[in-house]
Amino acid sequence: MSDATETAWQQVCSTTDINDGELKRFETSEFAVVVARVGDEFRVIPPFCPHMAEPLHESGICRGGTLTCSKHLWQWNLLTGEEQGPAERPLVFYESEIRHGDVWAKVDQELVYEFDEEDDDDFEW
Amino acid sequence: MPTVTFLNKQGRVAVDCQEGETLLQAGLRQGVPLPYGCGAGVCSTCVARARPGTVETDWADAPGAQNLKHDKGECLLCQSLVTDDCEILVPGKIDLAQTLAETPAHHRARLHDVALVAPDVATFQVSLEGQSDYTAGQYFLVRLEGMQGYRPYSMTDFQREAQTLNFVIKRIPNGKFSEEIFSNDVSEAKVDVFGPMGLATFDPSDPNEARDLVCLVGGSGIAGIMSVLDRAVSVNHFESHRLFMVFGVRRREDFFFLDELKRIKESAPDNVSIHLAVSEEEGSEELDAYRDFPLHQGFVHEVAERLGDGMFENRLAFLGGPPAMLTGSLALLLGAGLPVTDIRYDRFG
Ligand SMILES: Cc1cc2nc3c(=O)[nH]c(=O)nc-3n(C[C@H](O)[C@H](O)[C@H](O)COP(=O)(O)OP(=O)(O)OC[C@H]3O[C@@H](n4cnc5c(N)ncnc54)[C@H](O)[C@@H]3O)c2cc1C
Ligand code: FES
Ligand code: FES
Repeated sequence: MSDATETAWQQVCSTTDINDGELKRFETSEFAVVVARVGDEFRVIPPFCPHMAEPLHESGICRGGTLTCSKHLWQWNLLTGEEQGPAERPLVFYESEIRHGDVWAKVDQELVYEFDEEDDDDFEW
Repeated sequence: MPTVTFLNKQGRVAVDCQEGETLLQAGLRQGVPLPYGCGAGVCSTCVARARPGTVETDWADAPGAQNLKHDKGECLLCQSLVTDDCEILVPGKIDLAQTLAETPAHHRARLHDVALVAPDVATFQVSLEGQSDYTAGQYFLVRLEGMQGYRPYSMTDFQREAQTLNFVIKRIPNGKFSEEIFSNDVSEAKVDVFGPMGLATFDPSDPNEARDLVCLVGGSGIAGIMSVLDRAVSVNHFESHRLFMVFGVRRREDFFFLDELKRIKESAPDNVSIHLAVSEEEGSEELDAYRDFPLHQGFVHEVAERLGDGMFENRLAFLGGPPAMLTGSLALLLGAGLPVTDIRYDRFG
């Protein structure tokens, strides 16, 4: 692995920091992320709801591999990021892996949801 | 009168906007299915976009306006007024060509009969100049004459062609509306109201809703659920369906509406199971006059979890209460496998 690629990866937390079905917020050197645990799988996601940017470590509920945002009940499959039910936008993940009992993620670039996708051609600001 | 055109990729629709009414009220009143939650600047569900400078905000400091991107023209529909024609971009996949089956309206009204029912809880009534239908579980926006802003309050019973609406209110320290209500001298006040609003509703005539119910409620969050239960009793719903309910407050003296709950229990004693919970006292002995309601110690969702094993499947759930109680109850019900479409609530804050 080259140096540049290696510095893009950061240790986010220990696998023991999070219980099954829990979501927790952590700071990387540049920005915050949320780590979710489903059984022995971990996912590292942006800290905001893809709908209206609600802080997911507060509004999110993780049950049976499904993430629900309690604000408007959008839902996603936590392992794939796929929308369920009323959700209109998928969940995005940072590339992540477990190294020696720690969760590492590739956080070279902050992932942000594009909330303006419905922008209409008639509208030129 | 200005014309407001709501548009998105799915279509466009133009409506009139009366003087002083918000864009949300103008749209809903004329059947446009706009997104909203509280109608009162709190939840930010009604975020939309206008050309910068074409709308005025009624309440710039609204909690729901904190993250607005003003450079992109974002505004809260429920806090925006216009004086000239304008175009509003509505986010999401809402089909603007659809028309709401039931539309809210403005009413002049009179607020009266404030009555204390617990140390920090009062009931009050609002008599409309006209009348209004509503669905069980809905709320009205209420604005006191001379006070800025509408506050949502949920009706506590179910009526058709209602002329007098019944509400319950919790005292909020330094809350402008609630302090006014609890100040003793509001025996009678002029109010403007707008409604009915809200989607956390119950309609037992819909075959999909002819189901067992679970109601998890804390404090004044019981308001809309009393309407749901009143509606259920009015069609003898509990003769063929079950109710599991936990109603929690801090201390025993904080309970209210227990006589009304007794009436619901007596409508079908075998099928109605109502439990009380206190979070700040040891709960062991039942309240004297309400021995049918077992009293427990703990938060509502904790008590429900202890009692509710296998109790939630296939039920329609109604929740009401403070945020921590809602989140805890939601986690419990989702964990029990309830789909989100079967879980209904309004967030008070
Ligand atoms: C859907 C829903 C249903 C509710 N049902 C009930 C109920 O049945 N019983 C109950 O006790 N409470 C209910 N609430 C809470 C209630 O609406 C009030 O927030 C609460 O009573 C406190 O009001 P206040 O004026 O005392 O407090 P304040 O802090 O003075 O005001 C609270 C609310 O008033 C509005 N407001 C305040 N200032 C302005 C302003 N300058 N311009 C515009 N708006 C302003 C905002 O909505 C604000 O959140 C409900 C809330 C929601 C969202
Ligand atoms: S903000 Fe999360 S579902 Fe709407
Ligand atoms: S509906 Fe406008 S902020 Fe809640």
